[in-house]
Amino acid sequence: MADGLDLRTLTPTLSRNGRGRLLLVALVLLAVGTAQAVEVGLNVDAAAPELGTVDVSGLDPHLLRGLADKDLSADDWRAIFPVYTGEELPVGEDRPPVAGSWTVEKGTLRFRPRYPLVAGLSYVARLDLDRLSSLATGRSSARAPVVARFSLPKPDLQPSTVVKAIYPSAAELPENQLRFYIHFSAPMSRGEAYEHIHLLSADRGAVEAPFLEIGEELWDPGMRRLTLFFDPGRIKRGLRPHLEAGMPLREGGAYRLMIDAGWRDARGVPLASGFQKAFTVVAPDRTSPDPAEWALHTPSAESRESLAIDFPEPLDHGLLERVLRVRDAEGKFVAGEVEVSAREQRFQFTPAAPWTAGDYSVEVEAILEDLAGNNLRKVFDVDLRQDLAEVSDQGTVRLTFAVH
Amino acid sequence: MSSISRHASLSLAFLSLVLVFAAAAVADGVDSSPAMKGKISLKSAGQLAFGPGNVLFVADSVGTAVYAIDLADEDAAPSEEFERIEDLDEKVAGLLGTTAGDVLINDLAAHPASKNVYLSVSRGRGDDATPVIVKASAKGGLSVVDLGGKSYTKASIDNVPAADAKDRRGRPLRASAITDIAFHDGHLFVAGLSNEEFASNLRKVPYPFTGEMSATSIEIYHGAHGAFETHAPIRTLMPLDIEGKAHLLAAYTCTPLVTFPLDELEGGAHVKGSTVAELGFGNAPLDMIRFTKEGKPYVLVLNSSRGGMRIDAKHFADAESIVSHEHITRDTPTAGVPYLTVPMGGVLRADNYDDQHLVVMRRDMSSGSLQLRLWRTDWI
Repeated sequence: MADGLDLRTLTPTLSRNGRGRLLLVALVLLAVGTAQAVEVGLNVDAAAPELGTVDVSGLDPHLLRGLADKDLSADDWRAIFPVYTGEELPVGEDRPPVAGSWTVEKGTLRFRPRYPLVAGLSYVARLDLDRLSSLATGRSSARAPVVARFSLPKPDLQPSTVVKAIYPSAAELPENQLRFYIHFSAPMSRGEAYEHIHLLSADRGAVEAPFLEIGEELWDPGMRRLTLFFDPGRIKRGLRPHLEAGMPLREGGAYRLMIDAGWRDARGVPLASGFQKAFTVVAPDRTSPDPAEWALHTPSAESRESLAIDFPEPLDHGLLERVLRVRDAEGKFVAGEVEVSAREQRFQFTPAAPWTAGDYSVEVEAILEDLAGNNLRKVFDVDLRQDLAEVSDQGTVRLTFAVH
Repeated sequence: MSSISRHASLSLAFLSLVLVFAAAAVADGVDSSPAMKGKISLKSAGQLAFGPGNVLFVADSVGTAVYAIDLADEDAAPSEEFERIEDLDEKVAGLLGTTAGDVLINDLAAHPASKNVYLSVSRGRGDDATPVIVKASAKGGLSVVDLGGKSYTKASIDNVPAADAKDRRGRPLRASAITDIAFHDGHLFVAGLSNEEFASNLRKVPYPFTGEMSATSIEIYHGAHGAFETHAPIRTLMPLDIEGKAHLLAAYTCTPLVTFPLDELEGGAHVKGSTVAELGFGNAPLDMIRFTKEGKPYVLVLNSSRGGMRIDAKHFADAESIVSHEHITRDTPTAGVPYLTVPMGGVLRADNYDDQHLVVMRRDMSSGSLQLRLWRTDWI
């Protein structure tokens, strides 16, 4: 570094200026031999520090005017004032500069990162005063580059997210159980789900590769519910994985589905605790749910009593919440709230307004499945030698009831 | 039937595909719209594919849509070979101002003309993750593609009727992951996997996307063992020419690899497909690609745990439907079309680059580096 440079690294400090903004000065550089102190620092708003900018102040006004007049390309700016992640400047091409935009405004050269700053991550900026001078004025300044390091303080985040529930909630599951739903108390992170899910057999230890692992991971839009499918190739009769490795669950066995606490939530913080669901395995279910076997408990007119439907077997929790709807005699949907209870053997619908006397229907989409993926139209793997195969999932089943 | 021929037929399992077309796109909520310009509101960026006019198709699983984006990439193809990028995840993270642990690179596609490679990336892993398209320039360097001023069209792909959405107590949980997209002859095929019902979820969307509601939802059933019939989501798919006839080659989540003729996907006809391979236990197909080597067409199947499988495309023409593999164990050879296992361990995604190369994203097993590099087809 040039002899004529007095470089003083300051510990990052937060100080509030008159306008209520916080100025985090990472490094102050005093270029000896000139009248100006060039300061490179992080300029953050206390309300949203992650949206901070990297500002250079103290540059000679005629340099700034020269920069503003030049309409520099992004490549030029990246050469003059790149900002990198990491503690040190990159060697060669090992890290590209952080994407963003550069402006000259009110006596300040400003870099605005395209994406929010990450708390706790180190950044390093390099201001090439010589190149800046050359591009702005056509004259070299022979001044040494300024290097500044900064980071946003990392908040102290404590584990708080937990597994709220795992469905199905029954303690007995069929041998050809198709899926689990894992519900969390807060949004989770994508990309590591299968590392933290373990299926243990009471007598055989860890079950080998029981689940369908897909890179996308099947989350709900809010990332609070993960859908976990058993490997369908192992459940379906006749397919090679089924023949090679057999069912992941065995009738008569006792199992535990374990969620370990290392799984990180959307903040990057591990779960507050692990979770487990113990269950035993009963005979495979290869029959479709039959709505004729469902018991409807009809409400009274002028009341907001629930319509209840009891099923002789548990049905899929996610689908139960979605695919049953109530219509009035004119075919209009009745607004109300759905509740699934009794280990997914009861569906309740409470109308927003009292029932009026008359005819209603419950419309059930044929895609409604039981725990083994058999839907109203066909079983999960149709045995063509025994069953009359229905070829479509399309359509609905309608159950009618009257309110008196 | 002689015992020999019986044995041969037993080594193959019969598989049929029955394709049922849902009557109307209206029921599917498919909404297509004419070209727009402005901010593209991607909610996620997943599968990529280039289409006619070098438009980039971007699958947005969270937004349940596919975008066709005119990248206006006018770069000339480079005279020199694409320079290998080591530590791709670290470099993309640097570009996006974050850590490699907070970057997911979902797919890649090589621009047919400029040879720039486009990556679909998620910055962040949580519910607030930001989708980004990153360009790896053939001449070197990574940059963020500014989607702000690009011209684009969009097709919404969702089969949850609007009335349902209102009824959902404000907490919709259903989502579809778009597992793959493939373009062929005026149609984009979109394969998906629901986080609720287990179903075949293949859609056929006419492109250019227009205001017409004409997408088709296709239910595909396949048999196994000559006795069972089922359906399943498709993991990855590609168009494939078999004896001059267009087919779709689909690899399922439950591992069969099947072909079915595209021209029969009209009018609700039942289409019979064939199993060409079963990939076996403990494995999932990641990507499929067609390539040419010494003038002969091949298909490459990339797998999660069984490396790369190279299939000579001529075998698809005489592939027989599998009837049974009753006594299969882990030591039994895999039935179906013959394939050669090729040393492509760690290759996660691939796209055609030029006549002699694929571009691949690969985790190097010795250094652990995630590489973006060319892969000579004569090594495959």
